[in-house]
Amino acid sequence: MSKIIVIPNNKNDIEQISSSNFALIGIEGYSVNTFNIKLDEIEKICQNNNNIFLSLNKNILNSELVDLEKILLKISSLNIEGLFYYDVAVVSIVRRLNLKINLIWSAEHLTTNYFTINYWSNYGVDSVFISNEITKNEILEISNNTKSKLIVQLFGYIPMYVSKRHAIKNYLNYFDLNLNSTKYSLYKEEKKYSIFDNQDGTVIYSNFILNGLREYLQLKDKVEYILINGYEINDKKLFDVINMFKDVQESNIDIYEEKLNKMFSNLEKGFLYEESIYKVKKDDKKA
Amino acid sequence: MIKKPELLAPAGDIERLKVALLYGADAVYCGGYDFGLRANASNFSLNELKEGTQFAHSLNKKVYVTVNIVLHNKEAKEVLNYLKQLDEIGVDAIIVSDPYIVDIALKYTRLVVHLSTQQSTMNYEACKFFSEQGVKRIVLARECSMQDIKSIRDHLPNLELETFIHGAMCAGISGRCVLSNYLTKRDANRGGCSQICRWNFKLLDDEDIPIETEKDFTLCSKDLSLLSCIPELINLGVASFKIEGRMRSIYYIATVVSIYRKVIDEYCNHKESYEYNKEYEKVLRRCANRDSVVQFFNGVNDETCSYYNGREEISNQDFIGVVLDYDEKNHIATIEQRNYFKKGDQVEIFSPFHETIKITVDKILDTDGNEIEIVRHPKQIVKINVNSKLYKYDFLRVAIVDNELKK
Repeated sequence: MSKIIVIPNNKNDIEQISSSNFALIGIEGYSVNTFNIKLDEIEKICQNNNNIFLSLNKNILNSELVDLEKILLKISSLNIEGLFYYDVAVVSIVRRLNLKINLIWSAEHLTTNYFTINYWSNYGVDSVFISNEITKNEILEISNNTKSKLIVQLFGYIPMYVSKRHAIKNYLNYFDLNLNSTKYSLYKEEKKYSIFDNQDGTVIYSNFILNGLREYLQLKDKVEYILINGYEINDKKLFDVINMFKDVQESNIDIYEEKLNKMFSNLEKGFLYEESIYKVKKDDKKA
Repeated sequence: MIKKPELLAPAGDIERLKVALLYGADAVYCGGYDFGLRANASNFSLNELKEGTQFAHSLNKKVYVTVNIVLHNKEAKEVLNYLKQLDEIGVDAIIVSDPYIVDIALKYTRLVVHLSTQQSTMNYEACKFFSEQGVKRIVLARECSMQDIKSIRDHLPNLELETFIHGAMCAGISGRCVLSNYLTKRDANRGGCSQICRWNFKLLDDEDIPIETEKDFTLCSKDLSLLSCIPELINLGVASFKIEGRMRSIYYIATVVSIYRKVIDEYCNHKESYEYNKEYEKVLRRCANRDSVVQFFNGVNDETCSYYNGREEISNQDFIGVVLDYDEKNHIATIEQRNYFKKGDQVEIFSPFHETIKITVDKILDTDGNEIEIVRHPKQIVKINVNSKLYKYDFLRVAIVDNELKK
């Protein structure tokens, strides 16, 4: 039976989430696509709460390596369940310093096959956060062919883009606009995508909320954790969704699906049933 | 004596491979039909890879093959067989992003492994990890600044570093952009990128009101050109200078490669007297038809690095034709047309084998020997008089007159 990891929207929800589930928190300055908090505060949170995962998933620059080493040393002393990482520098330092941290390979869109998952497992990586861009059947196949613990996002908006460019700031600068908007969206063909600049660049999210509640029934015995991303979902709805995932079974799935459809107007299945295309041209020469 | 870096050019097909090497590239990179990140380039069959490798080796040059897609289960099952075929062909290295491929290539083949920019490697700890796995060269992330490169170089002096010096840029961090997957169902990390970063969007504020400006929002980045930074890059000890563009034309490749060849040679051969030649910059600009900047190299990436004011991509008409053959006895060149030209036009002929020459087209014959005034049909074969000896793969372009270069 999978356990539930939730990316909270705010600090206040962490305690409630981690009381019966798991909270995934980002480290300010070192994480993208999470709610981020300063490491000192995280330390306090970990003193009072179990069930905390941390995310350290930005691309690391040389100038940040000294700090990164200190941060990893600090993390190794905290009571956390595991550390989501993107940059291989994290593995390199953890191995070099022989730190006791449960590492979770979280290279977003690159975690797509069991061969590479098993490769990282050989380097002491404990778990993997599976890409959102593969199908349910591919997830099941991975599950059948690895001993690594799997984490799969089954609800929430999906991060689609991370850049080191400050796209909004640059655009506004170019046209000499001084706006006070607290958030922005991209709009095209009746679809709206959340976009924002952070300290390291720009992030864009999907226009839809991934809803894998029904698929959870098939995956719950195959993956160690499912992830619910609370980004842009209000507290009440978020806790309702968490409760549905905890309670869902064959007998009530239709009722819950109906409920979800009333709560959200933009639920989709992402790539759970649809393979992405990558060869547009005909396969006309092999030999 | 300064160590000359390798000039590495893209090759979307066998013709482009030959052109790139003839025009001065020390090595080319290309993709096979599978497992490369340009699924929609022409790419190479195994036979073509063999032919290309033999051609390169005959010139004492190298061929690297990209095997850098993000593997799904089914591709991961098939990739080892492909690696063994590349090993058999004798390619000089493979360019990979997936560490699983690094592992099996080193265990089960004799292939040399380069780590693709798709890994977005920006720091020496990550470089060290992959170096310890047996990776010989790392293609650094395009976001690396000169300071980043120097820092990596200082920490790992024996690791070969490769940097992009010219061509299109991803707006996002390589591997971290799947806009193409979600907006067009085409997988960016398996070679299907549909370049959503070049689309226009309305930018809405927190009340969903469109922000009114002269132009819509876009993520579109200008191209990269480090032409003016070549001396710094050479002094940093970067092993290989990479030109982007496996989908680009033979004319583009010949032009860009030949310009960088000149700059590298001029600096390495005459460091003390080297002066940056602005005219080269103008030739590159005409050829690409897109603005280019140094992007992240100076550590700053601001609004000057992106296209926000629209971008006119007028089809480049400079490329007039390619020489197929030359009759030395009668001084007649056989030309395959690529753009309209006519009797009386001033034309430049550039080549890896001789200095650029200027001629005025005085007589044009079709394949039946009839004199014609205008060559208007794509790939039309014609003959023209040229007194100097020409070679196959010499290129004819619109003469860039002096006052235009001074603009």
